[in-house]
Amino acid sequence: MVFGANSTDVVARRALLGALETLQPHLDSLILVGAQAVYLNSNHIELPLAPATSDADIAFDTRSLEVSPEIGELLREAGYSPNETAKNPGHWINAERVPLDLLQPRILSNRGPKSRGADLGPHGREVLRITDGLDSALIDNSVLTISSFEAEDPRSYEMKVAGPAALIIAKTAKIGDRLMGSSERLTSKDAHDVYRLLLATQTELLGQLFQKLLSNPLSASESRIGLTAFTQLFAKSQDAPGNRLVAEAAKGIEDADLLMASSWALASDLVETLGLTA
Amino acid sequence: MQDNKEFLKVKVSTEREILSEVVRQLKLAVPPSFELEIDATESGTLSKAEALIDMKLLDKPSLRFAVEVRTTIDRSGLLRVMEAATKDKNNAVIIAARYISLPAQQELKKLGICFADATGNVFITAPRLGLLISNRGMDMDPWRKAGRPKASLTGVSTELVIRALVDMKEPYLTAELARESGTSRGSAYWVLDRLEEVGVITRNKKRSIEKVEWKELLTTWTAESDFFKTSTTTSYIAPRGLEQLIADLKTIDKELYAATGTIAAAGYHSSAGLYTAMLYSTNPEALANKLGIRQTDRGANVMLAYPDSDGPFQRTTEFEGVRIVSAPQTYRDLMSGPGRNPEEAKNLLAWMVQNDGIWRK
Repeated sequence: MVFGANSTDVVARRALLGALETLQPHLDSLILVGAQAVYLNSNHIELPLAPATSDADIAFDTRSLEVSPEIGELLREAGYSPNETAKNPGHWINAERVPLDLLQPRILSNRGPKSRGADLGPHGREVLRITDGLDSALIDNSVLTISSFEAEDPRSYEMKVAGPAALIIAKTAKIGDRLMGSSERLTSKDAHDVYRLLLATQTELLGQLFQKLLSNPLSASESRIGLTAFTQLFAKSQDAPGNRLVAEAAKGIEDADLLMASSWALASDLVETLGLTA
Repeated sequence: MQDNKEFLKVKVSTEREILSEVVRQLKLAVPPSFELEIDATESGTLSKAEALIDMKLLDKPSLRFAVEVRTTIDRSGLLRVMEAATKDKNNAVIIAARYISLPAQQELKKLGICFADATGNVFITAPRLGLLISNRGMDMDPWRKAGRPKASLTGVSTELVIRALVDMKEPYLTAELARESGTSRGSAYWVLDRLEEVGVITRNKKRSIEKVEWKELLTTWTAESDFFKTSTTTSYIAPRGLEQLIADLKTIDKELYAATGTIAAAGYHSSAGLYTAMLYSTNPEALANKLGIRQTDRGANVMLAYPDSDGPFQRTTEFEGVRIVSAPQTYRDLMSGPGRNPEEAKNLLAWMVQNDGIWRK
């Protein structure tokens, strides 16, 4: 891939490195999730639809979070401010106005189901947003090196990055929410990310990762529900809603029928590997 | 003898046209010094001509022939012609045609039936007049359009023999051909007779195959036969793409498949982008399992074909670790393949013509 200095990917990576620099004291508690994690898990495959994301999504394993330095303070000092357009806790923007979303997996929250801000004691309630679909990232992750795409930028950090199984659960939860009649516009990009992950990971390995999620109490419930949704969205039939969204994302770039067939076949292989039925 | 090009200027599309050309050739066959009068009385429609020919030699009583017109006559059509020849009880009969094949001429001569064709093959016998006119015209039909012989080129044995004839560099004996094609010697002879009649092969007296017009045979066969007619096909999706599929084909047992279409074409000359993989297999289900591909009706990128015969698996080669069918099989399959496959087929054929030393063995 060839990047220009201001291509979305370069800007997104720069923003991520900036966030890691700022949050370095808490680096051990951070897990990269979202689109940037998807691409780190699939950068060995090339698809006609180029990955494009500008924001950075970071989950916090708040079990290991140190009480200081205070997260909000670190962010403000580094030029971050709450993202006014998001109107939710945990959404920040940097000086270049690139969004940074800081999230707490729902399973680690001590607050009621309607609460939005994570209760972090001395860090306050406005720093992280409680989010569904991230429990699995606590279990399926691995440490990767995050470096800059720009030669003159020497920054490089080792951090936990959510693995393919966790990301499929997260993306599936997102698509499921949107299909359930939320007013938010359906984004086909999330479905295409699921396809990208299925394509980039050997089915056998993916099956093992899912088994790990299903057997861990932190992620068992979410991954079980997630897999049911995944089956409905992708493995049920070639025309299942998830596969349609995959084709929609690459409209005019790739053959729709071929994409839907591929996405369905990969999903079905995974479901069968796990001993489930579509 | 006239050459091909001159014949092509002569119009012989209707029976009336055939008839007048035959009469002209008949007259040409008689030396000028010979005082034989030939008068033709034509009737009937353009497409169904009837005629009577009167021949008068000096002061002898004239002899009347009824003319039976056909477009072409080969050995398989002889029976009907002979029936017609014995129909007219009052007159002797002349069989007239645009072209009468050599084997058919020999049969007619044996039976003493008179004939004349528009290329100048003439055989008229009239014992009462003490007359025999015999002349040799062309030994092939100059008007026959390429790729349209009368003999059917389909059927399992026929196609196995044709494939072997196109694949193998002649000369060889019929027994060898039968062995290579996996057919019985009887079938091989039967097919060879038909192919000889239409002029795409030449045999010598010892019945060995001396010359194969392989290009004509291949294109004619391809016009009648295709990938879908000679196999049962099922569509699949290789969800990780065709590059991965090819990588997998290299690692599995070669007995399980033979690749054709674009994959095979790449083994002979540079080919186009790969959009559909076409694979022959005698056990498609086992192959699909091995390759991790899934059956689907829409969006498929792989076609597995269970062939009617062993043909596709004969004389295969390996290209970069992938087992591929022979060049002629590839050509035929591409001609009936999807998308730009027929165009690839034409490019392959052009390459085959230039390089027959490479692929014909």
